[in-house]
Amino acid sequence: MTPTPRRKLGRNVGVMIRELIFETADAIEVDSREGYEISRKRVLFEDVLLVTIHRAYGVGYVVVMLLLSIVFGILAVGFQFGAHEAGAALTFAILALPFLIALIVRLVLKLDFVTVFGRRSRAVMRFAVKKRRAREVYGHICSRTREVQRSMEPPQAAPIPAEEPPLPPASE
Amino acid sequence: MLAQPTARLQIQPYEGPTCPRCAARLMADWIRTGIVRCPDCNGDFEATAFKPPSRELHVEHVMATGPIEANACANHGKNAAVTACQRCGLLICALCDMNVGTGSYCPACFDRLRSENALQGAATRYRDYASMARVSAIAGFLLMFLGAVFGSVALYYASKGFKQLRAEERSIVGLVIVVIFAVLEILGGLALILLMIYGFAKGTMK
Repeated sequence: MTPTPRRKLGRNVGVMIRELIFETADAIEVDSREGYEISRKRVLFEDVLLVTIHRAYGVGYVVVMLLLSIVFGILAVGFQFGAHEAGAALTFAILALPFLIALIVRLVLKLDFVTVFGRRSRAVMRFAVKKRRAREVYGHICSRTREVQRSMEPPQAAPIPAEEPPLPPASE
Repeated sequence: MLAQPTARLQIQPYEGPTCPRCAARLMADWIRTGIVRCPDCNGDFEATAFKPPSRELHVEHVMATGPIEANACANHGKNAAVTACQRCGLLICALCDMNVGTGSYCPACFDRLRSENALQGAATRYRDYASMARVSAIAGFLLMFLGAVFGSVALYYASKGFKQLRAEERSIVGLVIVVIFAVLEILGGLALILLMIYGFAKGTMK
């Protein structure tokens, strides 16, 4: 582990993935959690080729939320109108509600992705609610990358000063 | 007929920029600044492209250096040595110099030290003590009669977690809450044990 000060930029949390993304002085660090162990990789600013931002629904999440809402919804309707069990119907309706709300929120807000592609690795960040933050992070990464890559460029050779034209011979 | 090879888990290597929507490989023409439409999925994304300067490593040849200061690299006979390995003392050239901020090592020593996890700067895997402390505290909360044990474990991991978080200048608020829970668990667990002993003693007295 490198004890370098770093600032958290965002997260990339999915079904099979749990990553925290940090910014250090010279790179973007991606901490992937595997149980109690964290494996770290870096996308160096000097290696960045492309930074992207886009908005998407996240199909997997939408499908799962929709399915759960439908399953609990059907059970609620079934108990209400089939078995005339108002209590059970209410329970399943309450169970379906959070999934339905999550689905609506996702459909309305969508998910912002900021992706940084380096020469040898990449980092992905997801922003579910903080849209302005996503834009800020995108701009910040671009400016830091520009700054670092500009500092690496070889210094421009100083222009050779033009020789002064010879003075005319002094007239006597 | 040859048997078909069984399907194996394939780790896809990173091959450069892809479409952030469909992961299709982006050709050089598509790596540009502005709104880009992926040719594969037709999805739009905003992009900023960079042209990072290529890294240049200057390797001095033995022939090019003076006769006094010219020492050949142990691995590359034609290259002039620039330093010596801190572990084995071999003279190494700029190509062989494995320096990650902890001194110069030759590739063999670097591999050895890295496998032993002795190079701080080269470590890419480490334990997440804050997470371990959190889980121990939750376990102690669920198994209250073992609260003293789990609470102590949580405190131990929390102490290591504090060092880790401080080194990275990250927030310690979550870990402070874990410590409070752990202390309460220890006290609660001990009180529970004392109560059980008291009850047992009172039962045997009768």
